[in-house]
This record gives sequence, C-alpha cells and structure tokens, in this order.
Amino acid sequence: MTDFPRFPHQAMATAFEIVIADESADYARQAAEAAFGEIDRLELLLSRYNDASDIARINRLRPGESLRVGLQTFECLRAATKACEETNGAFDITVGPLVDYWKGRKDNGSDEEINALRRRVGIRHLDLREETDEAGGKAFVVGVKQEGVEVDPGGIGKGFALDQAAGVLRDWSICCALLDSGGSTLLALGATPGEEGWPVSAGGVPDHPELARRVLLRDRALSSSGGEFQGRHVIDPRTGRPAEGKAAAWSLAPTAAEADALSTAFLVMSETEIERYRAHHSSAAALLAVRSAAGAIQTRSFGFAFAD
Amino acid sequence: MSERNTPEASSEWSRRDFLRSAASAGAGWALGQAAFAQPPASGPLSASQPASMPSSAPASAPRKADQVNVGIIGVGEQGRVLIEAAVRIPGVRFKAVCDIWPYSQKLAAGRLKSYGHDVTVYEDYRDMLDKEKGAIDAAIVATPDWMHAEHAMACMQAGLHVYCEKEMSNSLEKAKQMVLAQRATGRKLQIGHQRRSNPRYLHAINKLIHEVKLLGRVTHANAQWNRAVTEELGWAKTYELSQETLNQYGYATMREFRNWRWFKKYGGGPIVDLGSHQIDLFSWVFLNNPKSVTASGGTDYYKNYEWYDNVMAIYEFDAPEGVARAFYQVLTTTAHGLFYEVFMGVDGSIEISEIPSSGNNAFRESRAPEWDKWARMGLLGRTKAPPVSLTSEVIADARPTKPLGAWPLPVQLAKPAHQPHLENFFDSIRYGVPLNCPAEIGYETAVAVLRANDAVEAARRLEFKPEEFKV
Repeated sequence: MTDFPRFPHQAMATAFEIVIADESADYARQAAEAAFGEIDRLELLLSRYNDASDIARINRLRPGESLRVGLQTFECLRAATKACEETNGAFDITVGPLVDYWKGRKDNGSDEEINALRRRVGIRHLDLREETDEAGGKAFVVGVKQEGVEVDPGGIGKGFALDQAAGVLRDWSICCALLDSGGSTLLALGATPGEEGWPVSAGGVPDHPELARRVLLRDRALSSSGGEFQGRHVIDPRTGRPAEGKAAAWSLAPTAAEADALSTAFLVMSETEIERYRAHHSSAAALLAVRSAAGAIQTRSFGFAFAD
Repeated sequence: MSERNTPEASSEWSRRDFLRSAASAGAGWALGQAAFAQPPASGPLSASQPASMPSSAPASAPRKADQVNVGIIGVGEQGRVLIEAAVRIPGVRFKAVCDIWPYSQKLAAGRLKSYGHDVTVYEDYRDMLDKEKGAIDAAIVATPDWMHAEHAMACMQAGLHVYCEKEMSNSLEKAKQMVLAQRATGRKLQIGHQRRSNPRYLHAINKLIHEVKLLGRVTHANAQWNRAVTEELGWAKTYELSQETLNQYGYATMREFRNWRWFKKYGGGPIVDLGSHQIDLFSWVFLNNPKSVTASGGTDYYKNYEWYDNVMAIYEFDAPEGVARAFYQVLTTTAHGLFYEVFMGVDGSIEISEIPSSGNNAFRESRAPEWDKWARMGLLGRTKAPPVSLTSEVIADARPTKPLGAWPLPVQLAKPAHQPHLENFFDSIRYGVPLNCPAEIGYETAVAVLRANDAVEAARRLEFKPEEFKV
C-alpha cells in the first residue's frame, strides 16, 4: 500500500490525503488535484471561519430571517438533519454553545446556565426548504427560528467533502482510491488490486492490540471520534452535559458523511441506542473503546468486522 | 418572515446592517450616492468614476417582466462560480449552456438541473445564438480571455446584453472592438470586475475614502495575490477532446486548452488572471488612470509555460491631491499573505480583501482626527484593541512604534462575492440602473493591466498618455 502514490492537501483545518492505486502517478496526481479543488470549493461554502461562507451567513441570521444557499450547503445541512433525526438527537451540528460552555471547565456546571444554552441547541431551529418559483427554478432556503443558533458543520463537513471528492475521482475513471480527511474519516473507492478492500485500522488508542487489527474497507467509510485522547469533553446535545464512559468510537457506513456523523453520535449514544440504530441501518457498524472501572480499555463491537 | 429571498430583496446585501449603520448616521446611503452623482471638480476622470450601489428592484414591478432568460458561454471553473451566484437571483432563468468541452457541459447542466433550470446544451456558440434567438435576453461569457471579444460581440450583435468576465481580452485591439460593438448595438456590457459591486468595497472606497476622507490624502496602495505552487491541470481521460475538435476551436493541444491561462495566445498570465481585480481598484481609489508603470517579472519557476509566473509592478497616479504610487505583486510559488489590498493615507489605512478574514479593517494614524464619531455613525465598527494603554500612574509609556488600532469595516456581504455584480447587470437590464463596470471602465483597466506585461518585457518604465485609455 505504501507503493501507491499519495497526495496531501491542506483544507478545512486538516491534512487531507488521497491514495490512488489504479493509475499512473501523473494521472493520479492530476485527478487528486481536481478532487482537492472540489474540497476547496466546499470549504468556501461550509467554513464558519470565513465570513463569506454560506454557514457564516446562516450564523448571522436572526430569528425569522432566511437566505438562499448553494445546493451543496443545503445537501450537507440535509444530511446533518437526517443524521440528527436518525440518532435521536445524539448528533447535532448546533451543539457549539454547549461545547464552548464546557471547554476547560472543571466543575459540574450550572443547570440554569446549561438549560439556557440548550434552548439555542437543536437542528430543529433551522428551517430547510426547497422553494420553486413559477418558472420552475429552485431556491434552497435556510431559515433560523431561534435566537443564538450556531451551526458548526465540523462533525459532518469533512466526511461530506470526501463523498463529493470521490465523485470527482469517479469522473476521472478512478476505481481504487482511499480518501482521508486528516485521519478522522477514511473513504474507500473499490479495493487495492487483488484485495477485498483497503487495509485500514481503527487507530488513535495507544497500545491496544485489538485496535491494530485490519479492517478491509471497500466502497464505504470508516470514521473515528474520541474524547479522551483529544483531551476534550464530548457533549451530549440531549442533556447538555459531557457524555461519560467512552474513550473513543468508530463507525462504518456507506458514505463518509454518515460515518463522520455517526462516530460522533456513537460516543454519546447508549449501547441500547446503538443496537436500535443498527436494526434500522444494517450497513452501519460501531466499535467502542470503553474504559473499565479498573482503568483498562475494552472494546465493544456492534457488527464491526475485522479482517483477521 | 423571509426577508432576503423575496424578489423585492433581490439586491439585498446586508442592507439592514448597512442601513442601521449608515442611516443612523443621519446621512444614509442616498446622500453618499448623491455626493457622487457629479464628477469631482478637478481631475480628468471619466469612466473610472465611482460606481453606484446595487439597487433594489421596485416592489411594484410585475413578476413576469422580471424574468431574464440567460445563456452562458464557457462553463469551466469560473463559469460555474457565476452560475452558483446567478441562480440565487430571483427571476434569472438559465436556458442554454455552451462549452466546447463535454465535461464542463455535464457539470454545469447537471448543477443547473438541480436548481430547476432545464437548459439546452451547445458546443458552438453560433448554434446557441441561432437556436435561442428570441428565447434569451442576456449572455454570460466566461470563456478563455482570447475568445471574449468574439463571443461578447456576437452576442451583442444578436441583440443580447452581455456580462463578460475580465479580462475583457488579452489584446487591447480586441478589447477596443468590444467597446465599439457595445456602442454600436446599444446593448449592456458589464465587465466582471466584481469588486465594483461589492458593498464592502463600495463602503470602503466610496464612503470612507472618498466621501468622509477617513484616510486623509491617500498617497499609496499596496496589493497582492499570492498563491502556492499548483499542478498543471489535467483532464479525465474519458473526456479528452479530439484533435479535430481542438483544431476547430483554435487550441493546439488538450494541455494548452486546460492550462490556457499560462499561454500568450489564449490569456494574459497571472497578473491578468489575479491582478486585474486589484489593479482595477487603484484607479477607482485614485480617481484617475495611471500615468506610468514599472514592472519586473519572469518565467522563473514554471518552465513549461509562456507567461510570467511572478510580476511586481509599480504604478504612478496623478490623484486629485497629488502623486500617488501603488505597488502590486502576483506570486504563484508562495501563498504567503494570500490576497488583499491596502490603501494608505496620511490619516490611516484600509486593508481589505474579498475574503473578509484576509482584510477588513481600517487603521488610524495617531495624527488623525478622532474616529469615534465615525464609529458612532456606524461607518466603522468598534476598534478591536484600543491602542491606548496608559495606566493611571503614568502619563505615557515608552515602546517601539505603537501599533495602530484596528477598526473593523462594518459592512458584511450576505451573498457570494460575484452575486452583487450580476445583480447590478440584471437590474440594469430590468430597471435601467447604471452598470457598475461598463465597457469603458473594463477597457481602462485592461490597458493598465496588460501594459504591466509590456513593461516586464520592455524592462523599462512605460508612460501612459491619457488618450490611451479612451476608445
């Protein structure tokens, strides 16, 4: 795998990488550049740090206001809404105010303050609608229904970008590629020649043999989220409080956007909830790293298949 | 409920924000505009006049009459940027897409279909003009620079209003023909220097620099567009054009077709592709065209291209209050500093960029009259870091050069950067508002920009005669 040409690219505050297995290095480089071009265009739409992006504009709306956004912004927000609904609110791109509240906090927080912030949290405060004018033209409109709503597509945007970039690679007739958004989400197109899939692993947890095992990824995505190893709180949008008990979570799903959102959701969902989710989404799988009372890391698999 | 997506609000840049800031000043935008309705008493300025604000459509205008049917010629990277901005403008209806490359056709037509615009796809623009006769009112031209004149003139001669990307042409002779064709046909011709319609730039230049003279006499400008090393553009193998098609449309090879910006036949190189937008601002700020340009540059890094991959140029202007100089650099081997423009006057500077995070502040010189009044009037945001840091125990503190306080510019753009300029074009068609970048201004900028390449080649200072800018 190390022999395949790898192409790096900085975007969305992370290091993207594309590995292409079935083309000459020159062709692969140009294809990767075209795919990165798509990721850069998406960053212009989705970055909340760029005042000119669709997301920054949404974040400046006041209750009752709405604006037209680009198709891809709308699709990303629609995917985020779907993920929120299907995870019963465990994934929510408006959780930012609560994350900020808990950043660096050592005490238990105040119920009053948390409840005040919770009123600003919830993707239901966004109104996504497709409007058709009399000539048939469609407008993708996003409205805001609540004061202080902050959209941060960080938990799904990079995965969404990988899916769009994969579309560019398909246009370039590339069948075997691995797309990586800074290690947080991997998306496989096809497999490495002669293999069942791209050999990858669930990384990020030191010294744990289970997690070094190979996963063969083919036409789907693997994503990871961790609280403990990144030294930050993971907030459950439903309670407004840090989710306890899981060191990291990995997800497998058909698209990178879904996998990206699910790895975050799995960190805060109970095991019963994860099982319930999988009952409706047989193509999804979860792997959890849980710290036991004694302090050891144990893994829990929900349909998560290792290759060996 | 929805304020920004109604037809009445089609030109609604952060209008409310602006009105709150400007109107509360008791001056309002209308006054600002009126102040510019007449040319300044001094100065030979003609077409570099400050632009008008994008206007709002009259609420009473009948809905049907609002619809403008559009064909777009050239739907590569830039054409698709314009599509994404134009589909957000109510009443704009794409009917036709023309491009010689099936890959661009596919991406553009597919995206337009998602926006509910069913378009007919053409390879040859003559075919489009023939078949769409009477069905389209306007054309957007976003083809490689060397074809702008042919495409824009044919469209105007077919009765269409035209939004043509900058640079008008890579040949001044052809650019001149475009101005003449515009005059002969009486059609609208807007050139795509979109900062001319950007409310942030209109506020900074028309309001702050010209009207309230925030910076005092502006003596210098400095602008740059730097970008990292880029790969040569390739193409998906199933979308390679046949040599016959390439020959038919004047491209030597697929490689030259994809990388046309680097070749003299088709484009003007980085100072034209990137610099033109910013050099265009110099004459807007200094209320005159340049009187000379000195430049250096070369094909120093990319050995397989024809155009200079880096240019540094110095322009001199006879501004209304005296000589002003502007430095411009375009580098294609480093992203250092990205892209922005700075206008420097004796009382302060304004640093601005199309991307607000790269520039959106005014900086006050300590000699300047206090700026709080402008902040109270809403013309400036509140200073982020007040430069005064005296404690009660001391009268002054000693430190190497005090940093200038940053005062954020208060206007935000609530839409994609190209949208206000397209709105100005469509509002000009629909309601007769003046174009912010008509052919004459586009031509003046083309002279200033293309002559910088000549100055590099000549390796000496080139003087401009005022009549060079006239057609």
